[in-house]
Amino acid sequence: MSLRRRLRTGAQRRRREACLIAALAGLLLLLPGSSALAHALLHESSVGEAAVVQFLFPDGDKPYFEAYRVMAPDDTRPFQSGRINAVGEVSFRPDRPGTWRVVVATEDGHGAEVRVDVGREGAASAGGAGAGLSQPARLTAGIGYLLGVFGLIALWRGRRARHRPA
Amino acid sequence: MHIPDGLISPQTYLPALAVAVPLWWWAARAFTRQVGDEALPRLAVFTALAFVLSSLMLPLPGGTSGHAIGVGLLALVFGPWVAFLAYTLVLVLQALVMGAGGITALPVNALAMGFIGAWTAYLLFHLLRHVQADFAVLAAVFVSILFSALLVALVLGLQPLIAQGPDGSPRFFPFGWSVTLPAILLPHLFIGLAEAVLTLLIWRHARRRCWIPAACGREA
Repeated sequence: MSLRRRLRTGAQRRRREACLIAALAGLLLLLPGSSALAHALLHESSVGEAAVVQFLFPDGDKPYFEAYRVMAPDDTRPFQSGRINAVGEVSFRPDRPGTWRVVVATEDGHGAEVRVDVGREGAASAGGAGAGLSQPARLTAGIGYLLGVFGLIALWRGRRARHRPA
Repeated sequence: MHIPDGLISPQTYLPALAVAVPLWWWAARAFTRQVGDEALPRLAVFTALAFVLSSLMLPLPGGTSGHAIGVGLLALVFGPWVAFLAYTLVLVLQALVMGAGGITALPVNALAMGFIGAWTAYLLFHLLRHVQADFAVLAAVFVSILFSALLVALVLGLQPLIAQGPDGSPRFFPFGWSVTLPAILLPHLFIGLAEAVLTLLIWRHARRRCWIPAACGREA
């Protein structure tokens, strides 16, 4: 095979590979629009005299009647235990300041641990893993971070190759 | 299958961390040696595919649902060490961005899905590929998913035995092996079948494109 033909064949193969990778990347970007979402157990908490933690799966479903435990600060015994109610909520009234934990576990290993900070005035506050970004947005952000990490590795390798003595 | 934070005890995740750290270091060395500049964008896309596969729920018979893992494909195309490292990155992002899995549970998840999953798929494929390559891919991915699920079920079911409060109640995950083994393994029979077929389709394409050095060497 002549050199020119081999070069042309190689260029065509690289072009085909580039097209395939671009198509796969495009597919990944389209997927977040799908209704099938991850199995993370998200939550949102409200602030008040009693703490209310609402649990939900990313597709909007809720872990109805799954078992939960509320752990008081610096205590190894559960302060409260039971099952999530019919609207996917756990509510409890903290009797001391500190970081409280609400732990939910399903039989197949899914679950979440929510930390609720209670001040001296009794007001509770907690971060919400579920408030803010929608699940498709999270998926897109995750892919973006991931490709960004590999981009940084490629940049670092390129810089190192340029600075390497010939 | 990701274990979230708060469900496993320090007696579990600290030893797991001690095992995982040297393995990550070794995997980073293998990554530097094995993944050249040409393969890096391809690894990025395959890792992103694993991230998506393990983030999307599949409805399963019985009203439950589960997700694929994606590490088998990484192991068959890039080798087990690179797959382990890439899948650890997937797990970190899932914990930080998706709320699936967790940081204290990361070593256990990485060992169960990333390490055991990748090595089982890789070794089983190389054991069976002389029989029939397509069958080897299907069997390798299916068994690797079941092994990973088995390890997760064993770790979770162990928690009530090793971490109890003063009154004997479980401090972390409350269910024993009689619950975790069927609850985790049975759904993964279906997930394993679906992921094995998907992996075979992509693996065939990768082999045609000579993205798998061993397969190209054999064909040449």
